[in-house]
Amino acid sequence: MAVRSTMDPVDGRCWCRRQGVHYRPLVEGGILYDEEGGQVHHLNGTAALVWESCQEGATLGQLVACVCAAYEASPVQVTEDVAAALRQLERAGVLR
Amino acid sequence: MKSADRQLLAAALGLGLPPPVVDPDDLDDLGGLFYARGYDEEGCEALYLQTAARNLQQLAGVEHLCRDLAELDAEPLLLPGAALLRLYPDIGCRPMDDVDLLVPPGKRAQVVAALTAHGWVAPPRHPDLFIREDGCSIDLHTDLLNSDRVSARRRAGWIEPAAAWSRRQHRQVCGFSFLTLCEHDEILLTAAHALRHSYRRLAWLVDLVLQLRQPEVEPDRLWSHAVSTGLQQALIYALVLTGRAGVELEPWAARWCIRQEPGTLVTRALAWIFSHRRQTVGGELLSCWTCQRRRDRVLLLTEFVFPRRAVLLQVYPRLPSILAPLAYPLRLLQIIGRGMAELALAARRR
Repeated sequence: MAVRSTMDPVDGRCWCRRQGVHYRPLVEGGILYDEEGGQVHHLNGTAALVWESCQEGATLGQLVACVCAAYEASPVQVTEDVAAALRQLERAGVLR
Repeated sequence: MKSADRQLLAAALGLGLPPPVVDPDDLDDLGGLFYARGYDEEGCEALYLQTAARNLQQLAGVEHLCRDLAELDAEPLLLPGAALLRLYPDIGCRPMDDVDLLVPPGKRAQVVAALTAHGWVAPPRHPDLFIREDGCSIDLHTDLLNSDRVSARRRAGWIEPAAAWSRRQHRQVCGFSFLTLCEHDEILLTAAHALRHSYRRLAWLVDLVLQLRQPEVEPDRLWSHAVSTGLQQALIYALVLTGRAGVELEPWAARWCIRQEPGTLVTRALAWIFSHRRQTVGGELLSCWTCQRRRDRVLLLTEFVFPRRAVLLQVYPRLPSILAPLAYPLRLLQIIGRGMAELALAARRR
């Protein structure tokens, strides 16, 4: 069983989308266009669901619950994937 | 019609299995739609994602521009094909080379100023084409059938721009809000454009079928509008080709094809044009034929072959201005060469 660090930077924060980022769903996942930076990001299914769930702001726990419900998976399986998606979206500058 | 093209159209419209081999040009055009329909042809996923990215960039930029122009009462109208993305399953299904905008009457200067302010630049000799750093491009139009390039095109069917403006509608296109033409104008424009360009892209026939399936289409009004604009033949030709591809048309469209069936010569010409759609300019010649009067056909053909100098210089972008007088002899050579190529094509196929 993977042990999550209690110092995980994605935990305990409320994640929100940055303004000026366009999102459209695709057959699998979705696509983001950051008008400010001019960059396009393809999102897999999990990352797309994370993005869609961050509209009003969401914590890691809330996002994990969303993804678990959508994929009928356990929190243990999902948490690392959601955390990784959050880190990538933060690095891309589209989530804060 | 080649059976491969028939299968391609059927696959694109979700009516059957894709053909085993897809020509690269058709794959570029329809690969995204195939992927969205669940066909896992090689390269389709990459095309789909590429199309989605480019379309999203283009539409976001154009919406930004249109929003700013709306504040100046100069919002342009989004023309097909970008406007028709709303008919497809999602934003990755239909590629577009550029975004065509219809400028509001008398507002071209404001639109150009806004384009410049947004970082769009017109290349030399192409005052209506604007390109951005990321490669996205906008083509400005002051009318719907490019009579500013070949004025005699009006004789082969004409939608008065002011009338089209009066019928404009607000629509959502892939989550962006735009002014667009009404559905009947869009259908006629699609049919006329496809004919002029010899049905080079199968996407145009897919566009047409999806447009005809819209619940807002009123057959009687569409037909009377087609007749009043002189575009009924272009519409019938496109419907005949689509029907021959085995695509089931709306019952009223099928009835039109029977009642307005083209003559033998036109039918053969259509079949030839479609079979050689990537090589021939026969569609442009056939569109001249749709003029009502023989005199108009000659005038249009003459202007198509020898357009005015500014338009001809766009055909030869690398010709230095000082050598501009050579443009017409070059055009003559091009026409002769083209004619010989078409004859050779015909001879090879025999």
